[in-house]
Amino acid sequence: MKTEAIVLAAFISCISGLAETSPRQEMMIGTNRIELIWNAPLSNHYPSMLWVYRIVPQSFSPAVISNLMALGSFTMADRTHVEGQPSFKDKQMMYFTDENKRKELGVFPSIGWIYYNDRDAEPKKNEVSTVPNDEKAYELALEFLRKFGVDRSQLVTKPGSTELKIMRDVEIRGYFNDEKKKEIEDVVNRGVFFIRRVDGIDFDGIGSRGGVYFNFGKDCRLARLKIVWKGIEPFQLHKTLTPQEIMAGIVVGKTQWENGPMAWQSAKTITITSCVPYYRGLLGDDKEHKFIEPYAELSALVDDGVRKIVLKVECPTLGELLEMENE
Amino acid sequence: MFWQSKSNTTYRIEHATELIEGNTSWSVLYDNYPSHGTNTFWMDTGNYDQIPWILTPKKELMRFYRVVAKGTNSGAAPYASILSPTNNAVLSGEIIISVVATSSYPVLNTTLFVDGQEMESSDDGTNYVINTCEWPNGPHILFVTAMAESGLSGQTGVNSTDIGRAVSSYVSVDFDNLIHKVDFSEPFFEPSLGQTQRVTAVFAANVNWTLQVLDESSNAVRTVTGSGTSLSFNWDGTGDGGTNIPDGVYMYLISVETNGLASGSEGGSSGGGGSPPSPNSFLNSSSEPEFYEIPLPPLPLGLSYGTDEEGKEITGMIVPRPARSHTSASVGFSESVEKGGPSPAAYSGGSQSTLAPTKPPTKRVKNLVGTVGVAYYDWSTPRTLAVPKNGLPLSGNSGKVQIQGSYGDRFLPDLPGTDVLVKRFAKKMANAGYKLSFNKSGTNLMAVELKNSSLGGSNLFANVNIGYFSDHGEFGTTIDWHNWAGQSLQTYFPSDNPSDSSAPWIGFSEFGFSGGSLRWIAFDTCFSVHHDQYSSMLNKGVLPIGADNHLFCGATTVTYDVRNLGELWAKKMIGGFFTSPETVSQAWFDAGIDAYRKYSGLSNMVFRVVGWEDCFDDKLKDFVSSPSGSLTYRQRIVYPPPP
Repeated sequence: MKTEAIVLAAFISCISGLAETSPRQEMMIGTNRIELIWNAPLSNHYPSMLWVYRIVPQSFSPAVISNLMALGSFTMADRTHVEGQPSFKDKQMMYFTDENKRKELGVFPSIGWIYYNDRDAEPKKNEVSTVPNDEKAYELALEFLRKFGVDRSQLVTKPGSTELKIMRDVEIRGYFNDEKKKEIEDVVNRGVFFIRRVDGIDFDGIGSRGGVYFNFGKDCRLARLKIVWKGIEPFQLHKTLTPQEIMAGIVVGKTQWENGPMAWQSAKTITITSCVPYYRGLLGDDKEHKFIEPYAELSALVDDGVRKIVLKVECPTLGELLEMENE
Repeated sequence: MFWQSKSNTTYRIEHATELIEGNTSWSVLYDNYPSHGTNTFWMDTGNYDQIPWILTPKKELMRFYRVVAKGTNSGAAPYASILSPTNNAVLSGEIIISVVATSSYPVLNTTLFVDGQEMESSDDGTNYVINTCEWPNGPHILFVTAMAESGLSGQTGVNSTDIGRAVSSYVSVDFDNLIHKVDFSEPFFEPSLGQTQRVTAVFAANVNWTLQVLDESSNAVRTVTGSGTSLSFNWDGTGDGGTNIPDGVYMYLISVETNGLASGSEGGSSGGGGSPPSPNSFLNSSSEPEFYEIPLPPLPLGLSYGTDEEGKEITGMIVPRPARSHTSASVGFSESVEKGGPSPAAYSGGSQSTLAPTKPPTKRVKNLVGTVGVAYYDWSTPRTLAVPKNGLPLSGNSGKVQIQGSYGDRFLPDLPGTDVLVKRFAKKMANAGYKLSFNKSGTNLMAVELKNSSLGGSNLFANVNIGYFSDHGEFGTTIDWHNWAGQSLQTYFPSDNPSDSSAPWIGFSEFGFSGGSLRWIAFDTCFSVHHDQYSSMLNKGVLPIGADNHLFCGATTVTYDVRNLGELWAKKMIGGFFTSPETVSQAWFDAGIDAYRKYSGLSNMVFRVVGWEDCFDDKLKDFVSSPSGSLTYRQRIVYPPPP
């Protein structure tokens, strides 16, 4: 898969260190006055500038398409349209299914979306489970990343490491075994999520809205695949907001608090302890959004005098427009 | 409907077909409608989410209304705004309306209104798609409401959440289409009963028109043509030449081209008409719109709209009228779903095509593909209940079930999003051809209706193909000795109907699912199939899942009250242009992962699907006719994903 992302190492000079004195502001929740304190070091996680990307059609190479088709032993004769949906006018869109509709493959370059399902990839009851363990599933996933042309440099790594960061997924089946006269639990599939990263900024979530998901069943067969990989090109370059500007946004409510619940009426101080930018991801079949935009996720320690709770809050991060690519 | 309102208040709009002194029977038309400030308006287009339907008032001889102030919001108001289009935009065809809402609370949901009529929900809460051809040309008002909650409710014993509501500034726009006022008469019709469905449209000029009825694969099964300034066609459910075509979801595609003939007056149309109701002068615009007055309808003797600031009697509403321009269309319409999204305006004056209509109630369906039933208790009045009785005639704790290790009373907080949740589920299913058979809650839902007929119940869910139940859920940690429980450990679901107050708990084994047409059912509750209780009920042979049922979708853990779980389940089961339908069980898991993905700090959640082994491959349109095998479960952690 060819990437459209441009590495912006030159632009991402980072704001480093923490101001000598922590910036403070006041905010009101109802009649309650809360002191807002910035105590988050702006390390190299927070760049001084960020791009808004425009979504453009993705290109999947013939080799990638060929590898995908080989998964389900599809030929061009299996090409059809999604059940219950109109035929594609865009010739690059492809959907394959076998005669019994047990396997299917969808490839949609215009929205950067690929999926594959094999409904026969799970072990039957009482079958000796050959579903790969965690380690094997990860190995297989790495191999498939290569086959499907996913650029590893655009995947999230563990902090301070080149090892890829992943999330896991496992589906359990439980039933009563008549022979053994007891309940049995076995693993029917295992999944691995990879998350996309652009310009050193991660897409939010677990990879389902920007990234790759592999799910393996019996005999290490790929049971499900989702590749959410929108084509992108730089659109607008913005200065990122300063801590003071971000706090001003919080004060006027331009935020989305993620955790809860808590009693805002009794909060005394809110201390911002970290600030991490993310690109807001989109579902694979999303065709409405035209841009990929960044935002900042803050961790906030809320203290009501009795207890302290860590909450997360989403804030705008884009400030002054510095540069705009031609339409 | 316009009324003088109080800020920060929520309203319930009720209706009655007749006024009887002291004994008028009022029914809810719309609930939890937020105040717009000191003046509020709302449009009645009926309520097709209730059974029986409350028809659009166009079809009723008369209707009486009552607006009830329910109370003030308990929490801080969020911020809501429409980003695009902007004031005075002239819009054609299908458009995307982008909204933004922010709050100091973690849970936030938006709803778009056009002229006071609620639109279909947005997949992501920020982008709404509407087809402007469905409205008359001319000025219209867009606004978005936001509801913020201090936390996700769901767990029993936890305090109720605070709720704040807000309404955005109005955005005044002009719809400008060659094809407009596209309408159809019924969401579902049954040709075998002699029913037809009338599709109507009005044209801004004299045109040659073509109406095509398209099947799900966009093949035209019926084509009719004509000319003039309006269209009215009664479809009898047959294809060209009177051929039989399958039951299912069909679309109407209207294409027109101006023919140069003089336009007749719009009044010749059978599409109904009149200007859309518009609000009072609330417009928050930096421009200076032109204002005009819409006369208010006469009131019965003795009633008045009050007086204005100068003491004069109010007889009309002052409405902003944005400037109209045929050259500044900024957002357009796309005929093909493949193209998607906004494109340059399709209407340039000479021709236009539109798929019609998508706004409520639903797409048109010739007969029905299947049936859906939803039932819920939303605990709008939180209560504390004693734990369930265990079926033994003993006093004190010996006659009670221990719930989660305690005989103590259980506090049941409100589940404020449940009505919206089930409505969105039912609407999404309706768009796939599943007719809503019942939507019961609160005082309209007796616990006994949910129970098995062998226990004197009504087997409510047994008579639909897909069921959705939302409530609190608890698990018992001591044996239930009732005959129906077979000395098992049970899970329990409380009724908030005051009429059930003497026996408010329903044991899982009491539910009546089998003996009808129920294939799949979801319990959006905590602990519906908590592991030990599930195993106990399985071992005692008292699980309510019958040989004719396919799958039960529930959870082994706590769950939370999110607005979109049911809608996501439906969406994933139905599929779309770019995504094929998922299996019923996979859709349940994936809906859970998607619904909770943006929250943090919640308790771990595990979704479990229970059913007959060969039903785990079931899709809505591709399922085993006779389930076989033994009862099996599948489960996945839906929150948080393990690293």
